[in-house]
This record gives sequence, structure tokens and C-alpha cells, in this order.
Amino acid sequence: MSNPGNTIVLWILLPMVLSIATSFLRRWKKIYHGLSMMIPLLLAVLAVVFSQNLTLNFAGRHIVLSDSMAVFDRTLQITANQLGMVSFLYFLCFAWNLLDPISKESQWFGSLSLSITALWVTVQFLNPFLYAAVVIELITLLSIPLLSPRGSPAKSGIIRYLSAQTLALPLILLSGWMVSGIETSPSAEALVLRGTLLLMLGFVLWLGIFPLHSWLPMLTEESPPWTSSFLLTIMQLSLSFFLLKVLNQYGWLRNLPELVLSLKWIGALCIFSAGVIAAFQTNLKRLPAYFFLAETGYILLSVAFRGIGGLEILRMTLLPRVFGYWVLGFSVSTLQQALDDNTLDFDSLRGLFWRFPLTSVLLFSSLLNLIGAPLFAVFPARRVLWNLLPVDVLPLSILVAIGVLGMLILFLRLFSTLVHPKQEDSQELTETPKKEGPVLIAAVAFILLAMIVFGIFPDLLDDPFRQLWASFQNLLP
Amino acid sequence: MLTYVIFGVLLLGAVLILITHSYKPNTARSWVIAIVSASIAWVASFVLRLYLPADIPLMTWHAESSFADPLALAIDYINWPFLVAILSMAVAVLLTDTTRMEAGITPYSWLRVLTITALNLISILAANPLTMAISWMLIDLVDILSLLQLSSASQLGSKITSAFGIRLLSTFMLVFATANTWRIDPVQVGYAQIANASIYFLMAAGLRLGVLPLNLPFLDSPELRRGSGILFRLMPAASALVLIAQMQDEFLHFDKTFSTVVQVLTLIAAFYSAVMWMTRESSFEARPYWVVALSAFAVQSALNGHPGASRVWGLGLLLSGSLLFLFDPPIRRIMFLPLIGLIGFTGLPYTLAASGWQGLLPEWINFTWVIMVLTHAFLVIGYLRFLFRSESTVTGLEKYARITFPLGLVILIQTILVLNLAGWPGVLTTGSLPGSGISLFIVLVALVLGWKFGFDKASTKLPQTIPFYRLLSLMISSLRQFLSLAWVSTAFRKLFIALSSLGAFFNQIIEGDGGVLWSLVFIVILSIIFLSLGGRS
Repeated sequence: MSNPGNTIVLWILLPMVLSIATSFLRRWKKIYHGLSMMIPLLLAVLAVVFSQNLTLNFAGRHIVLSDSMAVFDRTLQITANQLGMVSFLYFLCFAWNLLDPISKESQWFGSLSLSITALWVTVQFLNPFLYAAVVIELITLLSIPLLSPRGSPAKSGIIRYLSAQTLALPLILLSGWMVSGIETSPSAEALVLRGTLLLMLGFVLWLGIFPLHSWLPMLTEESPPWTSSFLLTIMQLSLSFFLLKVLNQYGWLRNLPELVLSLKWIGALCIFSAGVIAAFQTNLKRLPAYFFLAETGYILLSVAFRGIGGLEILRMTLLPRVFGYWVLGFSVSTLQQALDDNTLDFDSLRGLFWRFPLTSVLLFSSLLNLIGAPLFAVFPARRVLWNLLPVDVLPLSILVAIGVLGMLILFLRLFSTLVHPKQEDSQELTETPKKEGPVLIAAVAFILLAMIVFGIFPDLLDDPFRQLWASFQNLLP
Repeated sequence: MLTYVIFGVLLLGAVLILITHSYKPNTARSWVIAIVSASIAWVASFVLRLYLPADIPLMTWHAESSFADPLALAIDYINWPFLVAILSMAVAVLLTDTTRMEAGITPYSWLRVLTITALNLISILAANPLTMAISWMLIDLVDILSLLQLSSASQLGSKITSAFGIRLLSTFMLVFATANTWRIDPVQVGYAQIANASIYFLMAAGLRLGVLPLNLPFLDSPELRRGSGILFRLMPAASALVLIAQMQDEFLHFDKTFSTVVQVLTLIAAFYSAVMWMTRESSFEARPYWVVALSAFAVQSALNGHPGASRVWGLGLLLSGSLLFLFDPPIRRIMFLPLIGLIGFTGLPYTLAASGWQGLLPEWINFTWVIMVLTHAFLVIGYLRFLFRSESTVTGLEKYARITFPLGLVILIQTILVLNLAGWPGVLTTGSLPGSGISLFIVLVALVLGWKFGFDKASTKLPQTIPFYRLLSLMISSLRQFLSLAWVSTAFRKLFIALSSLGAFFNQIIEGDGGVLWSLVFIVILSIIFLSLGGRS
């Protein structure tokens, strides 16, 4: 007996409804956090379960899901081979909600993160794609209450973030209209160039690509670290999926020779600029932004190298990258709470290692992980990408190498700051008892172990997502 | 199988010490566990000689993709001597630690000895650069965390950051070096195909060893002065030396001018370090120079196209070096033991280092030849100088230490002798008779002069005995300051501060009120560039 069901209802509408419902349970914190954690986990697991052919035999019942739905004359379609992506996004939401009770940043995080995830899922599967720009604008608006808590005025970084995302909207809409013109006359070279230009500028604004990245460090500096790490991570990965979707859909775009070259240069420039600017930073809260910028560069490089296995590398890096952001967000958030200091200037962090040794080690490890140091989770896939660079253009390798060097300088400056207290504090710090509770110690030990285990056995993170690009047949070699 | 036994025994010993000592502290029991573990591993390492060469595949990353990356260990005639040397050093440290119990040595120090030895063995046996890079990182992290744990905030010097930074840089250099070879050898099962990127590998090793550019290993912490501290400082050099020794003979595929520059820098590092080694007050103060001088020998051998010859200088660094440094307290009655250790690097015919001359000396006598022989002679003179200062007696030692302490030194000596006889095929060679002969002659002359002028006891008599001492002293001091490269770090710091101001200004522009306008300008510029690219095509 088959049960009528729909992938859109299950992974978009239902989470939205549940998000609204759970928001009324905020007063009962344990229930609220439990639900915020369990709902995305369940949705992620269900996406894996149905990923074969949208059917499930359960307790003698044969459940079959249909894969599309029309909303306001637009089509939303999630097929079986696209459920890997859905599962990935909900897993990401689960991961951040898992440690949200420790971060204690926003009481709205649980419910809003679920809505935001559902909307990012919508972005991936909405046709025609240009309407996704509107959904992304909606996500931006929804994220404002998380970034700027009630009662505090919106700061310049948040306003700039909102402006960048809003500026991208007309560019993408315009490109969408041009695209329809190109499809009817593909030989119109000028139209192709303009369409590509608008589309790329839209992505540049969305992702905060150099030199339009200024909102990134401002945003991370002004907003709670755990929340901003979630919003930026899900945005970066969803937009990567979305970029692949666009490339997969439009042959004229993916076959444009200038596009590959531009992606390579923009990617290398992002890594270079992130490293060089980060090397001079003096505020811990700004650092995630530069890592985010560098990772955007690596994603663009992977897409540019799609002819020689770049998408495979992109897939390999997905979970390690998420894990890296997760750990970095957690360590910065933990330090902010421990110090009860919203600024986290390097000066205020002097000698912190002696008071919070494990949290400091976690912070060091998370930075080394994202830089791509051997032994850590990001390294195995990052190394493959580095290996591809000399095959191509030498200046690209040099830009990337300088970017990595800049990140290493930043790491060493932070290391020096944390282990060297101010002269007058050094004796006192040695005698100060360590201020880390057993729960935190256990969490940190577990995360560190995981980071190294994933660094030595990278296939553990890669195996579950081998079919992730199944729906991008035109991009696969 | 035997390799796994070695790792297993060492790590099992460490775990046993951790558990038993946490549960019921007993120093003697912990020491016995440590010495038994290390000894079993040490004996097993000699048995391994019968099975050379052997490959030990561990795992393959991304096996199902087109980017398969194997992780593996391998034992051959190049790294086996280093394996034996490292294990001998561990046993020797544990045995000689019996004289240092009052110096804050605890069972946790022995736990660290076993762990660090096991980790260093991974990097020594690494079959390819990928495995080596991972093991380097692991060693560096354990090293830095141990150091932070052993030190207190007030004790920690600023050099810890630069030392850790240089180690990190060497690891990343190794990773980037492998990226350069990927096109030729995508699978990278070994070091066989790395000739075209040898300079990067050499720089990675050189950075780690403190030779390229000259940087002295970090030795400030008091915990690193004795016993296991010696192990922690010397062992990381071993894997870098293995990397150099693994390079191909037809080595110099890069720019000849660049290679000459590197060669000159290495030569300066070797000579300067040998002079410093010879003239320092204590062996502790001189220790970093020993590491740099002999490492420079190894790098020079590789640059001369004989990377295999670097092996003996590396073994000299480890075995003869630890023999001298572990001779603490320096008991006069057993001074002959470290003296025998000189066999490890005198380079006389049919001794261990005889084959090293091939890599060190050019075919014809020239400036480099003279400097190298002088440098070698200075190292021997310095070694003898520190040895002749032995003044302690056995009376201060516990009864058991009277046996274990010399036994630790004997372990190192017998390892030198075994390697001398059966280290690898062709180990017994005459080497360079003029090189070793002249070096020996210089040493003998120095000994005679030293005996006559009384140099052997204390350098306080130097001003009276050397003509133009003040002028010489001023010159040496200036040269020392220049070669210490402290001015480079000062210059970098100033440059960094200047660039920081520039960066802050740039940030202010981008993030200030006019930032949005700047963004618009950038959009226009990007658009023009993109359109012009499109127009050209």
C-alpha cells in the first residue's frame, strides 16, 4: 500500500512549520534544544533513507514520495539523487544545534536555523533558478534577528551584509532575464558576456569575494561567533551547490573559456588576500571571516579544475571544511563566554593559554586544520588541490603559497599572544588554577581526537557523500 | 611484523607507565617498564637488519578516486641505521637518567621518551613525503605541547614561537615540494621521482635542521638541558637527515647559480657553527652549533650530488653527539668511553664517517675543500675540549647508577661499532685519506698547543695566551652578531609593523563609511577587466 507524500513537503514545508512551532517552546529550554537538535537530524537521516528511489518499506507499509510541487507557478523538485545534498544541509544544521546550548548566544537560534536550512534547501531546487535570489534575500532578512539581538542597534557590518545581499538580488534577476535571451539565440556573444558578468557579480556579492569582502570581517566581529559561523557556513556551501547547479544547467556558461580562467584567478586572489590581510589582524572574532574568504577561494579553484577532478576534490573537502568552521566557531564562542568579553582583541587574550589550556589548544588546532596542516581533517583533500596548482599556471601557485604563508603568520602571532602573558601577569597566571569544567574538557578532547582521526582516515568523511554530485551530470567528466 | 613489534612495545610501555604511575606511583617500576620496552625495541631493530629492504603499506587515501595517496613505511639501508641510532639513544637516555633523578626527572619523562621515540621512528621510516609530513606535524605538536606543559608562563622565552614557526614552515615546504612533483609522480609511493623538486625538499630539511637559513634549535627551557631533553632536540633532526639521504644522486636539476648560493650559505653555516662549537663555555651552550654544523655537512653532501654520504654525518650528529651530551656528570674515570665515540665522526679510514668525505670534499683541493676540512677538525677539537673538562667522580653516584650510567654510554658506542661494521653494504671504506689525515693533523696540533698553553681547562686564560686577543674578540663578536641573523628578525619585525600600519589603513578605507563606494569602484574595474578579456577573445 503506498502512502502519498512529497519530498517538498517533507524537507521544506514541514521544517518551516516545525520551526514556527518550536519557537513557541523557547521557555522550556531542554525541550526546545532537544527538538532543535533532533528535527534536523531526523530530516538528514530520512534524506539518506529515501536517497535510493524515494521509497521506503517500513512496518509492512510501502511509502513512496513524489518529487515535485508547483508553488506560485514555480516548480520545486527534489529527486532521489539530490537528497544527498538535502541530507548534508540538515546535518549541518544538526551539528550547530548540537553545541548551541553551550554557546548560549540566541534563544531563537534553534527555530530560525531550521527555517534558514529549509530555505537554503529551497534555493537548490527552485526552478527557474533566478527566483532563488528572492529566497536568498529572505534568508538574509531572517538571519538579521540572529546576528543583531533584540535591543541592540544594527551595526555597520550587519547593514553592509544586508546591502551586499540585496545588491546581488537585482543582478541575479537581470542575469536570469538575459539567460532566457541567450537560450533562444546562443550565438549572441555580447549577451553571453553580459549575462555571465551579472551572474558572477551576483555570486561575488553573495559570497563576499575579494575585493567585495569588507562585510565579512565586520559581520563576524560584530555578531555572536557561533551564530555567524553557522550562517556563513551554510551560506557558503549552499551557494557552492547553487553555482554548480547553474553551471550544470547552462552549457553556454560552463563552456565559456574565460569563466574557468576567471574562477582560477578569483579563487587564487581570495586565498592570497585572505592570507595577507589575516596576517595583520588583531581581533580574534575577525579571523573566521578570513578563513571563510580563503575557503571560498578553494571552492572556486575546485570548480575551475572540474575538468581534472576538481568536483571530486570539492566533495572531499565538504565535511572537513564544515568540521573546521564548526570547531573554530565553537572555540571562539567558548573563549568569548569564558572571558565575558565581546571584543576579543589580541591584547585581551595575552597569556590565555595558561588559564584555558584546552580551549586554546582547540583554537590552535582549528586554525591549523583550516590552514590545511598535515594530520588534520582538511589536509588530505587540500593537498590534492595544491598538487593540481603547479600543473596549471605558476602565478596561481605563488598566490596560494603566499596566502597560506599569511595564514601561518597569523597562527604564529595568535600562538605567541596566547602563550606569552603580559610581563606583570606571568607569575600570577602560572599560579592561577585552570578554569575548564569537565564537560568542556570532554567535548574538547573528543573534538581534537575526531579532528586527527579524520585527518588520518579521510575516507570516513568522504564515503557518505560519494553520490553527492549525481544530479550534476553535465559537470562530471 | 618486527616493525609493528617495535612500535607496539614502545607505545605499550608508555601506556603502562601512564596507567601504573597514575594508579600507584612507583619510580623504580616505571623505570623498569621503560627500559624493558626500549631494550626490546632496540634488540628487535638489529634483527630487522636481516630483512632489508622491506615495505610496510599502511593505507591509501581516496583509493577509489583518481587521487589515490598511499601512506606507507619502508625500511632500507638508508633509514635502518637511523632507526637503530634513535633506539640506542632512547635506551642510553633511560640508562643514564639514573644519575639525574634529582634534576626533576620523573616517570612522565620516560613516558615522553618512549612516545617521542615511537613518533620519530614513523618519520624516519616514512616511505614517502606525505607520510613524513604527517609524522613531522605529529612530532611538532607533541613537542610543543610537552614544552608548554613542562614550562611555566614566566619561564617561556620568545624563541618558542619562532622555533615552532620554523618547524611548521618546514612541514609546509615539504607539502609544497611534493605538489611540485605530483605531475611527474602522482602516486608518490616513494622518494624516487623527486629529483626535479629536490631544492624544495632540501629547503624543508634545511629549515628543520637549522641550516637554511641558519637558525639555532630551541634550547632555552631548563628541562631541555639534560637527559630526555637531548633526545627531544636531536631526534627531530633525524628524519630531516633521512629525507636528505633519500634524495637521488643526480640531484641538481635546478638553477646552478641558485645551487651555488645555497652551497655558500651552507658552508658559512657549517664553518661558523664549528667555530662557535669549539669556543663555547659548556657543551649545553654549544649543543645547537653541533646540530647545525653536522646538519650543514649533510646538506652539503646532498648539494655535491652525494646525498647518500649525508647519512654518516647524520649518524655522527646523533650517536657521537648524544654520547658527549649524555656524559653528564662528566666522570673523569670513564672519560675514555665518549672518547671512543669519536670513531663515529673522525672520518679516518674504515671508520663510520669515512664514506662521508665523498660528499663533503670536492675532487680537487680548493677553498671549499680547505674550509670543510677545517670545519671538521674544529668539531673534533671542540668535542675533545668538552671531554677533557671532565672533573666529576663516581662517589656522588648511587650504586646502581655506577653500572647503568656507563652502560648507557656503552650502548651508544656499540651501536657506532655495529653500524661501522655492518650498517650497509660498502660501509667499510678508506674515504679521503688527505681529508681525514689533514683534519687529524690539525686536531693533533691543536691538542699539543692546547696542552702547552693550557686551553683544555678554562677559557679564562685565553686573553693572556692569544696575541691581539681584544681585536680578535671584537671581530669574532661582530661576526657572531651578523651570523646569528638576529638582525634579520629585527628587520622583519620592523617591516611587519610598517606593513601592519598599511594594512590598518587599507582596512579603514574598505570598512569605513566610504567602503561601499570603493566596492562600487571595484565592481566597475572588475567588469571592465572581464569585458576586455571577452573582447580580446
